[in-house]
Amino acid sequence: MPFGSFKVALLGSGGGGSVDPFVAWYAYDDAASVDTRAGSFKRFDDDDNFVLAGYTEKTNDNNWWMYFLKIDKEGEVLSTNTANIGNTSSGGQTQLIVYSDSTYGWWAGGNYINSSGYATMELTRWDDQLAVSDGDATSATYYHRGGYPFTSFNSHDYAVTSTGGLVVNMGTSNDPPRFLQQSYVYDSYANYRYEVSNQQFERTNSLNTLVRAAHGSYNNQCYGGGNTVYDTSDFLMSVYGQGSSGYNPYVSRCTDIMSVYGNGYKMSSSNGAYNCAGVTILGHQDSTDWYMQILDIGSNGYDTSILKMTDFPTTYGSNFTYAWKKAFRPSSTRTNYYPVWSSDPITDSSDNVYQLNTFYNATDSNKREMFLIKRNSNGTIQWVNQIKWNSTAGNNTNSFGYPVLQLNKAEDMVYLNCDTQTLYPQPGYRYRNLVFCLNADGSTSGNARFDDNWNFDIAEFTTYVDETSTWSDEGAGINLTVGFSSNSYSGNGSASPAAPGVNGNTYDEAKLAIS
Amino acid sequence: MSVQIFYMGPDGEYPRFAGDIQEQYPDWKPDQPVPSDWREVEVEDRFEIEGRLTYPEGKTHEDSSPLSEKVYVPLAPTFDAGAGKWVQSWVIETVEWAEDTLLPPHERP
Repeated sequence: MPFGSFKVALLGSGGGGSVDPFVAWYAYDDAASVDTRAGSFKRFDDDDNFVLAGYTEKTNDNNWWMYFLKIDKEGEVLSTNTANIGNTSSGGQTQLIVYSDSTYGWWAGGNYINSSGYATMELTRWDDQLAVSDGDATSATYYHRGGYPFTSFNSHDYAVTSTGGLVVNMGTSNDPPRFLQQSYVYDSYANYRYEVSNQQFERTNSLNTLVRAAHGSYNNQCYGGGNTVYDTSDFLMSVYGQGSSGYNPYVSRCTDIMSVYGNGYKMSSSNGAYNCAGVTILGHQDSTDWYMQILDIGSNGYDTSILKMTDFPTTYGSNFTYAWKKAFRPSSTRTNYYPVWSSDPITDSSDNVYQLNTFYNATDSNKREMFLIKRNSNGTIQWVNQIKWNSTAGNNTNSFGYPVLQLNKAEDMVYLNCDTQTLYPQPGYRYRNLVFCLNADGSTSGNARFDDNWNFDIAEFTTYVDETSTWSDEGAGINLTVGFSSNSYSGNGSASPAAPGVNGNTYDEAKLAIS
Repeated sequence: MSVQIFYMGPDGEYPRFAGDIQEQYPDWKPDQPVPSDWREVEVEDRFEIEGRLTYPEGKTHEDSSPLSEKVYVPLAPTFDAGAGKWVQSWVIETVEWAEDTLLPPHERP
C-alpha cells in the first residue's frame, strides 16, 4: 500500500463557534510508515482551508519526502502532494511554508540531504497548485556554506531549519517580496559548534546575503530561535546562545539589505541562574509592536515568558520599551513543569495573543502536556486550555513537537497543529501529524478517543501561576558573546530537476469530535 | 540613546510595565503622567564592563570556553530626592560558567 488508504472516523459532536471542535490525525501509509512529522501549518484562504506541511518516510524507498496536505475547516483532506528534491535522495526533513501572493506563489523552506549524506538548506518555489495533487515546483535551490570558516560540509555537518524560520516581507506594493530563512548548522570544521544562518532570498530564488550568528568562544553553541517581519522593510532575527548560567536569547533587527542595526540585543533574567531553552518572536508589517517568547529553565525554576515591546530601536545602546512582561507556569511548584516546545505566538485583530507551550510534567512520569493560553492586549490571561494524552489505556505519548497556531477568518476557532509519537498501537513508535480545532473562547472541554486508543483530554486549566517576567534586555551592542555578522555565501546550486509533485497519493486520516 | 522607563506598582511591585497600569487604568497612555498610586522609575544605563569574560591562563576565546562572566544585577529602585525621581541602578557580579550544554528541541529526549 504505497500511498495508504483514506479513512475518516467522526464520532460525537461538540459546539461553540463556526466549527464543532475536533481533533484529527494524518499519516502517510500509516500501516507501515511510522514517521509523519509536522512542520508548518497555514490558513490557505478565506474559506478556512488550511495547508499542512511536514516530512514523512516513504516505505517504498526509505527516503524522506516533503508533503503538503490541504484540509478544510472540518479537517477533511481535500488534496495531497508529496515531493522530493533533486530525485537524488531524501529531502524535506523540515518543512516550513509561506505564501507571498498569487504572483509569487508558495514557498517551502527546509533542509535537504544530498546523495552524499550532507545536509544543506533548500528553498523551493511552488506554483499555486502546491496544495493539490500533482502541483508543480517551479524552481528549487539549495545552499551550503563556503568560504572561511566553512570550506565545505563534511559528514559531521548538518543543517536544520528552525521553526518560525521562514518568513516573507511583502514590502510596498511596487516591491517584490523578500524571504528570510533561518537554519542552524552543526559545524564540525569551526570548533564543533552550532551557529545560525539567516539567509535572504529574492523571489527569483537568488540568495542575496546572509547574516550569521555564532558564539565568540571556542566550542560554544548557538541555536536558531526563529525570525519575523518587523515593518515593511525590516526583519527581526533571534537565536539563543551559551552564557554563564546556561543560554541567553539574542535578537537583532536587520534592514532589507541585511545590514544589522547596531548589534544584537542580549536578554538576561534577574531571577537567579537563568537558562533559556528556546525563543520565538512575532512582529507585524503594519505595527511596531512585537513579541518575544522565552522558555526559561533556570535553576530557580521553570516558566514560559512572553514580552511585548512597542518598538525596536535602531540607536546603538538603546533599550526596548516594554508594554508588558508575563511568565506562565502550570504549577506553583517551580520545577514541576519543564518547558520544551512553543509555537510562535499569534495575535488576532484585537491584539489578543495566543500562546502554545508544551511541558514535561515531572509529577506524571515526564509526560508531555500542552497549554494553549489566550491573553488580552494588556497581557492578562483570559483562559488556558490543557491538552494531554489520556493514559487510562496504558499508552503514553512523546513529543507534541513543532506546534503551530492559526485562527480561522472569523477568529472564533483556533487551530493547533503539532506531531506526536506513541508507543501504541503496534508496530511501536509512531509519529502522526495532529490538528486540534478548539473554540477561541476557551470553552472546549472533553475527550476524543480514536479506535486505536489514541486518546486526548482537553479541559480548562485554572491552577496556573502568571507573574511578571524577569527577562530584560541589556541594551544593544553591550559586550555580546554571540554576534550577528554579514557574510558572503557560496557553494550553492539549483536542484535538478526541480521537484515535481507526485500525484495519486492519499493519506490515512482519522477525525474525532471532542465530546 | 533613550532612557529606559519601568514602573513601580501601588504596593511597591517592581518592575511593572505600561500594560500593568492599563489593566488598572484602561484609558491611561504611556506618554501621560502616571496615575497617583504608581511610580515612574528611570533605569540607569548599563556601563560597559571591561574584561567581561575570563579565560584560563594562556587561553583565549579561540581555544577555550570562559571560566567566568561578569553580569549586571539590578538593585531595588531608590528615590533620588535631588532629582525628584525614582531610579534603578546596577551592580556587577561575577558568575562561574555552567558546564551544561543544551540540545536543540528536535534532539531532546
